[in-house]
Amino acid sequence: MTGRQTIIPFGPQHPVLPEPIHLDLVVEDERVVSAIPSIGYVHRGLESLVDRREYQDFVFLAERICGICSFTHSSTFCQGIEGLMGIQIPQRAAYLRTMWGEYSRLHSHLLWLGLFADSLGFESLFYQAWKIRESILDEMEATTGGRVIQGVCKVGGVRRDVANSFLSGMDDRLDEIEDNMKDLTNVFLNDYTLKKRLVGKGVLSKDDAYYLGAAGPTARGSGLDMDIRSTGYLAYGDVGFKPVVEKGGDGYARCAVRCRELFQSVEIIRRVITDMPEGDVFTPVKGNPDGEYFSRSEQPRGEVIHYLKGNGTKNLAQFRVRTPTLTNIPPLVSILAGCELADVPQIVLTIDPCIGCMER
Amino acid sequence: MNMKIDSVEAADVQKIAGTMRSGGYRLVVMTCTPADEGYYITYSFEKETDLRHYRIAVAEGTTIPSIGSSYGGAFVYENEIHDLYGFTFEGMSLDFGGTFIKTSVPYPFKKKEQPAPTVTVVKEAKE
Repeated sequence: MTGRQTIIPFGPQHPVLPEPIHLDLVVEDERVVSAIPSIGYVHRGLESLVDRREYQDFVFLAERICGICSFTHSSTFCQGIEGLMGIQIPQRAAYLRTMWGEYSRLHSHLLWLGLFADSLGFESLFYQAWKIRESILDEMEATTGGRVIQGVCKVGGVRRDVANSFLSGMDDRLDEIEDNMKDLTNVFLNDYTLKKRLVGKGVLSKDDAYYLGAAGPTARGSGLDMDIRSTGYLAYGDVGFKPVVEKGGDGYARCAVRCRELFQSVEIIRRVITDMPEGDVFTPVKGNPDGEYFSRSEQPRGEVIHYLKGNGTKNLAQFRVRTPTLTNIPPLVSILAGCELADVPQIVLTIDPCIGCMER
Repeated sequence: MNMKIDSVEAADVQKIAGTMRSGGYRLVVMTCTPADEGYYITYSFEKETDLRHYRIAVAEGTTIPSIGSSYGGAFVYENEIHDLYGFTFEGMSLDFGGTFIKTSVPYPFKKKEQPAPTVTVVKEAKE
């Protein structure tokens, strides 16, 4: 029997949403016909501050675009300024940025796994994921001085070096972290209840993922071999990077990509620590940026783009950010159409939305 | 990375987007920035490692053709540009009518005669 259409508001405050986004769900009986998103609850207009802060200082503001991808935002911004000014950063700085970028990915994916388990009421799994994440944050704190906001990137390199003896200790501690992650991901990929809520839910075809603009694990879960790390920026060209790709296109595939990327990040960190070059971690910077640059990096949620325009002064003329969550909204709208109302919270979570990051 | 930007006419963006779509390119981003006169909107497309940028120069209040018929996901960029800069896109695949991003003032990124102050001094009212 076909019922009449009803609109159910989902969010901006909802138990599964750590940040506010609103969806108008048009439902017919228990089936979602379409979903209309609206954002803007945490829009801060950070980009417009670029003409009031010098480019060296703006690194700290860029880092505060997001509390999870903070390191990648500062690294991408610095990379853009360095591109504009033709600065080649020291190899050791590039390796350290790569290492911290991968630690960020680890803590972001573990955060998502925990939140997803929590959304299903699987509390012990949530605690386990966040317990492992704590050890990642401890490493970030020990090497940068910050757990959430690191403040370690600067134009021309990084502010802090890490002693080689400490790097060896980190390598040893990765073994324990890896063992714990194996137990954790084994539950995510094989538990009956989790599979019941993920397999076949929120299917995004490869073509839709490509043309609707999906990024990150959302795209790679649909079989797209898309990862900016493949371009070999920072030290990724030296570590023999290959993207993790799953073909299922459903929530399970997106979860599997994140689980496999945890181990890939550990491998990259190990390789970076082993091959860490000696030398300076900072190149002195003179002058001001001039011209236009599109700086791209792979955040835990996908490709982020910082557009920078300099005019030869200490202040940039323009700064615009395109984050992966913004470009993952059209695929989300597409996969919600036709799903069961009860599956909406889990499907929304499978794109790993980061609203603060999206709205800047 | 390609930083070359080709200037095109606003009336041609739909045709360019159609060509890009049939050529297997994905829409990477649409970027609106104020220019010396009016604004620039830059369309970036990519296929594997081939990144291409097309730019239109538009005056304030111009109605721009939407590329939603070629790229359904363009609505997030077009609605954002509408809500932050005040441009209207004709034929969007999903038109929020100015409610996509909730802003405290209309079109906050639109050019202003006076820039907003960095520090707001609040004076105590005298009775």
